[in-house]
Amino acid sequence: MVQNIMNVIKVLLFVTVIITLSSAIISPILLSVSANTSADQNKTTEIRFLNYVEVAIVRRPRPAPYSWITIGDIGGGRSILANITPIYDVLQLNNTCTSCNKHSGSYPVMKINTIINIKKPGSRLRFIKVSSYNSTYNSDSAGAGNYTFFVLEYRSERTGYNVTILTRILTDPENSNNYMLFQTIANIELSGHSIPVIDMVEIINKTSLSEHYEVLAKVFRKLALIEGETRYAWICLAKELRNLAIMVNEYLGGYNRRAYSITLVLDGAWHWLCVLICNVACAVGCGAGTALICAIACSGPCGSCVTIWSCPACIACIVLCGGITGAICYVIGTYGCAPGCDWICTQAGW
Amino acid sequence: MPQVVTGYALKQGGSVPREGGRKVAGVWWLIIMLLGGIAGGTITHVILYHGLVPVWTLLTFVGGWVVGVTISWVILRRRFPSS
Repeated sequence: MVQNIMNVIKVLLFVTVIITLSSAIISPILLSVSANTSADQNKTTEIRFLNYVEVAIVRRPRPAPYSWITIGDIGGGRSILANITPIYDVLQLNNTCTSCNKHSGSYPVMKINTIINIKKPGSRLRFIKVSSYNSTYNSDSAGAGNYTFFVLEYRSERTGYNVTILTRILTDPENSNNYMLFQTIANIELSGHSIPVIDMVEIINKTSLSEHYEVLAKVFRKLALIEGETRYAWICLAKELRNLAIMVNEYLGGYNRRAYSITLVLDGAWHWLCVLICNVACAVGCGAGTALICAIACSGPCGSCVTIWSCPACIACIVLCGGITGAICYVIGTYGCAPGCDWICTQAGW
Repeated sequence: MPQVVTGYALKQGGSVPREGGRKVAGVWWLIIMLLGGIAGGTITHVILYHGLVPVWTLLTFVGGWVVGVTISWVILRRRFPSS
């Protein structure tokens, strides 16, 4: 009898290990597939939003406001201040595309000019001018519907990580020589990792393009000290941003103008493993506790049975109790343990 | 002498909780409890997310539920061994 029990336990534990491992494997695969394949539609990607960082550049003697920290100097007697707001929220990104491959009546015609294309060992920098013309353009509306913006693309492939930095430079519609906003997306892909977290950085002052990257490098060097989870990724990214700032200064002097900026940075790390183990532990505790409650609750109807199959009341009690407690445990896991585990793992430095 | 082995223990003065414990400690109880809980969790998941995606949250629950219920079952099995 003991042998039978042990066999049943072994089978159940084996099934559990398979389920747990499959969830551990499927999760990053789903994330990486849906994040990397832009053509994939109707897929939900979960990305954790870690921090929202506001950055201000001030003259050095000025005292820092409460909750703002000084993260370095940028030259010219100026200091960089940052206000880091932890978000730690899971974003459900649904790649639903309802109008893909459909064009409305008028759509812009793009003209692309590559201004510079520099290749160095392990990295590449391209700066592109994009002019769009409205297809409804005619002589009566000369100039109307035309718009010029710039795209900077920087890629580097290093041992252990790949970095992609894309900046769209929005210009003044009246004069494309005046920059309005730098929109930067930086992605660091560590070897074998997915893309589960993002940070957002907004610089509230105008900066030149090279300063924009230099400030970001300093911000991420500071974040590397704060966020244990993303420490290595942010250090690597800061190094690449610094390299990019130098290249912009060197090769894009004529285009190194000033604008406001906002940046999204994506990164991968082992945080998900900590969260997974914590969530499984939570479900184990809830399952064990509620099973005991069900055992007590159903001992009445089941106690008067010769065998379980001769007693529909006993079966109904177990099914009902199991179903209800399973649903309760699921809700507790989703709305209680999941955010709690995220917080615990972050505090633990994962 | 009261019959405590059969399910008619109550009528004959036997111990109901102990008999209930023996039935609970059966393998079928474990299987029904596991399936009932997984069904309940899956239905809740489908209602909340309008489908099975994201599947990893469901698999995490299922893995934890199987281990948790099995632990309780083993404890009950030791507390109420089969006669």
